[in-house]
Amino acid sequence: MGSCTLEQLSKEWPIEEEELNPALGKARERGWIDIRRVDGRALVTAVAGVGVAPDESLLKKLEQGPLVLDSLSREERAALQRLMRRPGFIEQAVRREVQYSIKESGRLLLSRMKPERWVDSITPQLIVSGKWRRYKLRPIDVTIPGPTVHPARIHPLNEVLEEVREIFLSMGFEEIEGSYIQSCFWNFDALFVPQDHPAREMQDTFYLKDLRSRGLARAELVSRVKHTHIDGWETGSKGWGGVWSEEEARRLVLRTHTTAVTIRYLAEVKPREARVFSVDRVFRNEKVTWRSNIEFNQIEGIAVGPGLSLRDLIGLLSEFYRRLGLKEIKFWPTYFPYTEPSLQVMVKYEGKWLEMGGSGIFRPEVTLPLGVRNPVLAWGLGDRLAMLKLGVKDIRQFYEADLGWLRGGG
Amino acid sequence: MPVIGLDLDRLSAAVGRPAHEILETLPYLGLDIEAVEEGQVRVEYSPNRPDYGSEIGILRALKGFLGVETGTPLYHVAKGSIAILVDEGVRTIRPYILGMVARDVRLDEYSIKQLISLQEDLHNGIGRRRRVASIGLHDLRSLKPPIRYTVVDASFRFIPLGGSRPMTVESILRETEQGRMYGHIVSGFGKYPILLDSVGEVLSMPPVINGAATVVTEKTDTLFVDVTGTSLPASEACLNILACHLADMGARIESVSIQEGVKTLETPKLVTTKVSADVNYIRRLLGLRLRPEELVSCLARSRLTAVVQDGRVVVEVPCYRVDIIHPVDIAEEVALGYHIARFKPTLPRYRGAGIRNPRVKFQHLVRITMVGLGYTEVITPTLVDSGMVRGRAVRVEEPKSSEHEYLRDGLTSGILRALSRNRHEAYPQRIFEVGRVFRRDRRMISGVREQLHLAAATAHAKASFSEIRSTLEALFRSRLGIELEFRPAFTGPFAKGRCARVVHGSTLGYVGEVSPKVLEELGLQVPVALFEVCLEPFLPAPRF
Repeated sequence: MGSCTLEQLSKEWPIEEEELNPALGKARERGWIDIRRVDGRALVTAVAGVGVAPDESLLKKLEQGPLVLDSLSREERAALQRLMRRPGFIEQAVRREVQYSIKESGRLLLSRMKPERWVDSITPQLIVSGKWRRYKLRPIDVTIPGPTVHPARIHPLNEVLEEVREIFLSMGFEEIEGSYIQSCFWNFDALFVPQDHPAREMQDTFYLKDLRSRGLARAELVSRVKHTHIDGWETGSKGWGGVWSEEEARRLVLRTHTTAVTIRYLAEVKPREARVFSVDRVFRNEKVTWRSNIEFNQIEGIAVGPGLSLRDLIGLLSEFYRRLGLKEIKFWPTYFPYTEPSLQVMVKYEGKWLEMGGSGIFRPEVTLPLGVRNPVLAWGLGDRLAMLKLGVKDIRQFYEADLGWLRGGG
Repeated sequence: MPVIGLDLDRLSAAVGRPAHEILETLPYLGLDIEAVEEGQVRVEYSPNRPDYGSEIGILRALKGFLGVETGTPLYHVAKGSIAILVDEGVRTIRPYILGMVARDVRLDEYSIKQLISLQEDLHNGIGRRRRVASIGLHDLRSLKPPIRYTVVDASFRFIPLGGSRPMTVESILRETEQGRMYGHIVSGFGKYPILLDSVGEVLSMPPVINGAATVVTEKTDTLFVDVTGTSLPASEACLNILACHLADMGARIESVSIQEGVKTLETPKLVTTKVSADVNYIRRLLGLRLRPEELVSCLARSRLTAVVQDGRVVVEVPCYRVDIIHPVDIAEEVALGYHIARFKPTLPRYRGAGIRNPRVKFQHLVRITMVGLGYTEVITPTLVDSGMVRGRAVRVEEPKSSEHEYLRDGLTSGILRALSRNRHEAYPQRIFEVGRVFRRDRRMISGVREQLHLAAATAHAKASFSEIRSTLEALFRSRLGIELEFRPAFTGPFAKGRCARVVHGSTLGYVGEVSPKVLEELGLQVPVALFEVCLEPFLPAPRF
C-alpha cells in the first residue's frame, strides 16, 4: 500500500495518455484511490481494505445464471445501475412468481404428523448416540428368500455313535479304545478262530505287508492259547487239533472287529465283574457296495459277572436296543467261532424285520486262557444302525466327505 | 457263508406242517432266509454245521425241532467186500484215504444236484477248498475192485471228467479249469496221487479231477465214494456227512476196507460218541431251571439222545455233528431245543458307573470346538492309493482295489481331495477331520506308529494363512490353554513363504496356504489354507 505522484503514475503505468484521467476518475469514484494536492503536485494514494469491486463480483455472479433483483445487496444494486448504463452488458427480464400457502385444514393434518426420518439399518452410531429414537427403521419384505448359509456340524455318523456312547454310559459301561493295527494273536487266535479258518484268509482281512509283531503277549498266555487250539488245554474242549503256528499269530492285520481290543482288556484286567464297551473303526477286505464298505464303525459291549446267563444277555440287549429307540426286537440263533450260544438280533423297523447285530457268550476256550472265570456276555453291531437312524441307503455316504449331504442331510 | 436251496413242498410233506410254519421255524435252527420264491427257499447256513449242506440234513433237524422225529439218528453200516490198497508213495503228498459204498441209491436230477451241492460245500468248508479233504463220487458198476491209491508221473494219461480224449497229468493241470484251481495242492512233489481200479481205469486224480469212466448219472444205483485228504478228522467228517445224507435218502451203506501195509481200517463207522456236561453248568449258563427230563427233551428236539445221571447229562452225539467240541456246545443245543423265542429276558444288576474313555472324550471336545469355529466334520478313507502317501507308509496285502493299498500317513491329502470333490458346492467351505494316521517305525512292537491327527482347511475367495492360523490358535488356547509357536517352513502342499511349522515343545504339524500349483491340479478355483497337527502329546497313551 502506498502513494505516488501523478507524474510518476503516468510514466510507470502502461496505459495510454488519454485513458489515464478517465481511469483515475473511475477509481476515485469507486473509492479505490484518493487524489490530493500536496506541494502543488497531485498525489495518488491507494485506499486500504478495498477488495473486489461490486461491478466485478456482480458480473461473476451473473455468469453462473440469472439473479433475482431482490436478492442483490445495496452495493450490487448500485453496481447494476452503473453496468446497465453501458449497452450490451446485462439483460433484464421480468419473472412471475406464484405463491401457495397452507390453510387451516392443512395445518391440522400437519399437527398430527411428527417430523420423521428413515434409516435402512441400525448402526452402532445410532445406538450409542441414542439417535435411534428419532429414526424409523425402513420395513423390508420378510417373505423374500434370503441367501443360504450352512451350519458347521459334527459328522452325522459320529453324532449317532455319540448317542450310542451315551446309552452305554447310562447303563454303567466303561469305554475302552485301542489300536487299529493288531496281531493275528489278538484279532483271531485269542478268540479261538482256527488258523486255517476261512475268515482269516486274505480275501476278508487286510494283512500288513512285510510286517510282523515282535511280541504277542505274556509267554504264559501265548502258551495257553496255543494249547487250547491244539487240544483244548484245560478248558474242557477238544480243540481244533493239528498245529498252531506262533509265526502266523505274529502277522499284523487291520482289526476286523473291536473284539481284538475287548480281548486285550479281558487279558490285562481279568475282571470278576465289569461292563465295557467300544465304538470304533474296523476293516474288512471286501468289495465296496452300498451295504458294505472296507471300513466301518463297530459298536461292541460286554458284561462280565458271576452267574450271568443267556437270559441276562437277552435282557441287556433288549434294554440297550430299547434305549436306542428300537423297541421291537427278536433273537435268532446263529454262529460265531468265539461265542456259544450265539444270537442274531433282529429289529422291526417300518414293518420289516432287519438283521441288526450279533451277540453271544464268549466260549470257555476264549475266556479261560485269559484267566477270566465268569461268563462274558458280548454283542456288537455295525453301521446299519446309523444308516437306519439317518435314513442313509448307501453306507459309502458316510465315508465320502460329501459336503452337499453333510450340509443338508443327516 | 454257504447258501442252499430248499423245496418248501417237499419239506412240508415230509414233516406234515404247512409251508409258512416251516418258514417261521428255519431261523430258529440257525438258518438265515435269503429269499423265497415259487416254493423254493434259499437259506444261509453256518459253516460249523456242514450237515446243513443238504435239504436232507436240514430236514433231519427240522423233524426234531417240530417233534416229528427226535433223538440221535442211528445209522447202520453193513460190512462190504471192497478194498482200497494204499501205496506208500501217497504218504508225503496226501496221506489219508477213506471210502464207502452206497447201494440202492435212487438218483434223479434233483437229488444229483443236491449231492453235488453238498460235495462242493464240504470241499469249500471242512475241506478248505479241497486242500484238507476232497470227495470223489463214482458209479461202482463201471469199475472193477480192488482199488489202488497210488502215485503216477506227470506224463501219465487218462480221460478226465468232461473230456473226450486222454490227456497227460501235466496238460490236465495246465489246461483244465480244475487243474488250474486245485493243481497247486499236489504240485511240487514230482508225483501225483491217483485212484485206479484193478484194470487200471482212473477213478480220480485227487483232489483235482475225476476220471470220465466212473461218472455218476441218473442211472447210477450203486455209488462208490472216496475221500482223500491231509487231515484224518476232516476226511472222516466229510465221509460221515455224505454217508448220513445217502442213508437218509434210503441207500444201504456198506463199508470199504482201507489196507495200508499190515494196517486195515474199515470205513465209514457212523457211530455216535458220548459227550457229557454238568447239568448245573447248563442251567446257570442259560438261566433256566430245567428239570432233568426237560433237559433231555430239549436235547431230543435237537436230535440228541441224552440221559441224566449223577448231575451230568450224557449225550449221544451223531458222527455228522462235528461242531460239538465242548460242553458249552451241549448247552447251546439245549437252548435251541428249548426254543430261543421262549427265553424270558432278565436284566442283571450292576453297581458300576459309566466311564468315558479319556482319549475318546478329548477327541469329542476337539470336534465340538472345531464345529464352534465354523468347521464341518468329514470322514475320509483310512486306506488310500499310493499317490496319497510318502516314504514310510504302511502297505496292506492284496486289497480288492489299488485305491485301498496304503494306510494314510497324514490327513492333508484326504482333506484336499475332499475339497476337490466338493468344488461345485457353495463357498466358503470349512472342513476338518480327526483321524488316525500310520507310519513305519522300528521302535514300535508292531513296527507301526499309529497316531491321532487333526486337520482343517478353509476354502473361499479370502482364505488366508492368518485365518487358519487364528483357528488353530483358538483351538489350542481354548481347549488346552496353550500358546503355539510358529516357525517359517516350506513343506507339503504349501506355498513358499506361506507355511509355518507348528511348535509346542516339539513339532506338532504344519499350517499354511496351499500353493496355486496344487490348487490347479485339484481343480480348485479358490485359495485354501489348512493345518494338520498331531494330538498325541495331549492324550494318554492308548492301552490296547
